[in-house]
Amino acid sequence: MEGERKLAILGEAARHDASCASGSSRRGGLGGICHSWTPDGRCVSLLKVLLSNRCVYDCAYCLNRASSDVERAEFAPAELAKLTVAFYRRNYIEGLFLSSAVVGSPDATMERIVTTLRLLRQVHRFPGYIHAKVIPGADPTLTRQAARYADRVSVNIELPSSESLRRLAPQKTAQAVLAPMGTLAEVVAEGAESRKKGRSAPAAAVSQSTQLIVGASPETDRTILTLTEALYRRYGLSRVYYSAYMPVGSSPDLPGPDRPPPLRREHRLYQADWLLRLYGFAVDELVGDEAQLDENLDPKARWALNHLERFPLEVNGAEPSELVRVPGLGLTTARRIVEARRLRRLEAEDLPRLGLALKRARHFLTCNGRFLGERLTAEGLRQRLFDGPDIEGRQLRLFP
Amino acid sequence: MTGLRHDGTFDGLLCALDEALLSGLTRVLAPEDPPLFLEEAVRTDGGRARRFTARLVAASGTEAVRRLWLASLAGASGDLLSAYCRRAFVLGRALADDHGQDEVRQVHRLARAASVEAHRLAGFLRFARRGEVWYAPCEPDFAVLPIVGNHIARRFPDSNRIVHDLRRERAALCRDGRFTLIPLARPTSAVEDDEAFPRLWRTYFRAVTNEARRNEVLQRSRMPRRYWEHLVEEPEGGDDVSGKGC
Repeated sequence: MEGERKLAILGEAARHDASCASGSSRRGGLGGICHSWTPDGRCVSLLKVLLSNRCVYDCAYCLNRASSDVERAEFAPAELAKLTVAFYRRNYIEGLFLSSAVVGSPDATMERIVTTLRLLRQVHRFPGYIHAKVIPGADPTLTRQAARYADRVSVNIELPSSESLRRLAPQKTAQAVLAPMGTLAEVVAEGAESRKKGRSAPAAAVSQSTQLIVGASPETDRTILTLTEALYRRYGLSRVYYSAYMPVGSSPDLPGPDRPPPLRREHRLYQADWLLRLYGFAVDELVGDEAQLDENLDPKARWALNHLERFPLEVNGAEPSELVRVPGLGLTTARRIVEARRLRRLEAEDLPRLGLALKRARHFLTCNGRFLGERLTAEGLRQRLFDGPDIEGRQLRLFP
Repeated sequence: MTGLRHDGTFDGLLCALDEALLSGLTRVLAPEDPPLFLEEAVRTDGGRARRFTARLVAASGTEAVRRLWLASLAGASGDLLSAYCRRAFVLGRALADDHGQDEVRQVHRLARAASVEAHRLAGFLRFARRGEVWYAPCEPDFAVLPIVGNHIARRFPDSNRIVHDLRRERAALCRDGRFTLIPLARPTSAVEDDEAFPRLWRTYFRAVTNEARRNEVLQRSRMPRRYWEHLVEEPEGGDDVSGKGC
């Protein structure tokens, strides 16, 4: 098959993987460079492809499942290594994001992935970023080898419960996913340990992430976020990615093709994820008694609405950990406020310059004792913070 | 009011700032600023520039100098930079926290704009291979070539590269991990790649576009149109999606 067609097939087949980070490479330098943005608004940082889409598995939610009628293609490891280097030297990409369908067996697939990575690092001396997928069920030795060549490694959880895996991905088990995740957590920890001791890197992956599909199975946001929290804690993951399910199959167990992908839900999960990782929130604070996040409210706004007794906060006195809980006020703004108020008391006029989304934040703040918001009922405040379809049902823009 | 005109180099600017801070009521002029009735040229003296930098670092830290430099790349006026320096010597280490102060905020804003553009360009440059030389044209808003040149030189230390700022007709020549800036006129015709990789990149770019998530506003906010001309991927994506639709 011609190279161009192959690249189109295997690029398209990999595009549902949400991760695009090219964060901390072990080689240092400017991180997180985006080389382009596709018309769907996503950053192109890595050459994200499958080594092959000839899958022996038949996961109902997957475009490349064995029973699916898609054109199949496969890169030879040497061919893909050469393409990656050519793109990198032209400054099209930061590096490679390599995944694969399960060809033959998990081990056979993993071997081809490892071969590609070894060619890149050892033959081409490729200095770019590599994110490698580990195939669930692959041998720990191969998993470790992949981690030796890659900057980031990940195993996709895919579905947020064993029950759903059994139903939709019968050849994958939670155990097959979690075992390599455990191996990778060890490798990542060993690497961090030796870097801390200042040894020149016995090169090893610096971080691990995972991805799961939202909306293909019935799990609630609470289940998903509880899983997320456990993954961060137990496996030291850097990121969990969420991918709104795009209808691809006709399985009776899946949402039909007329159901649009749950992009709003995905967006809220990402917001909640940041609040869990960086803002000191716990799952229980975000989902409350209901099991779902509110699609029409930023999860932080919802938390604040349910805890009006903790507000308003005084801009000149509140702790940073309290400030970041104010809707419309993030980590950067909180830092700026703390820095600026060391110099002098802040006045209300100073606030817009510090980058607050004052439209939302003012309802939760006082400045020198003066309340900045309007006197509103809880319902009135909720309307101010509302972030969903408007009355005529037109969808407000999700992204500013 | 008198004016001090420098030669457009960063050292020259530093000497002019030093002089202006000594004499108080003096404007600092770049080569392209309109003439003043009373003005004189400042002699560029590397030693003086270094001493001034050292004093500024001692007073307000290296970050202040970095911001001064970045803001100058973004075209900050000499007067703004001189007000910023005056503020720096008064406030010392507290300078960076003084978000409420006008000059400080403006310099921060310009410094940030330059560094944002340099970061963008680090991603948007596209090199075409011509024999042993890799060539990338660009037309940045600001004079960020020194930052971008440094990035490229370090990223690709084993090749000879030219980053060409067509708008300013200057180029960074990168080799062995270092770069030098030279004047360089626009090429008379487009520089084409020796190999077929640009076409493969276009193919890939179209294949990964997810039509179900089309959001061009977001695309343009992250990658403003003015950068598109030199991108080989033709970011419109268009309706010619090589794979089957989603």
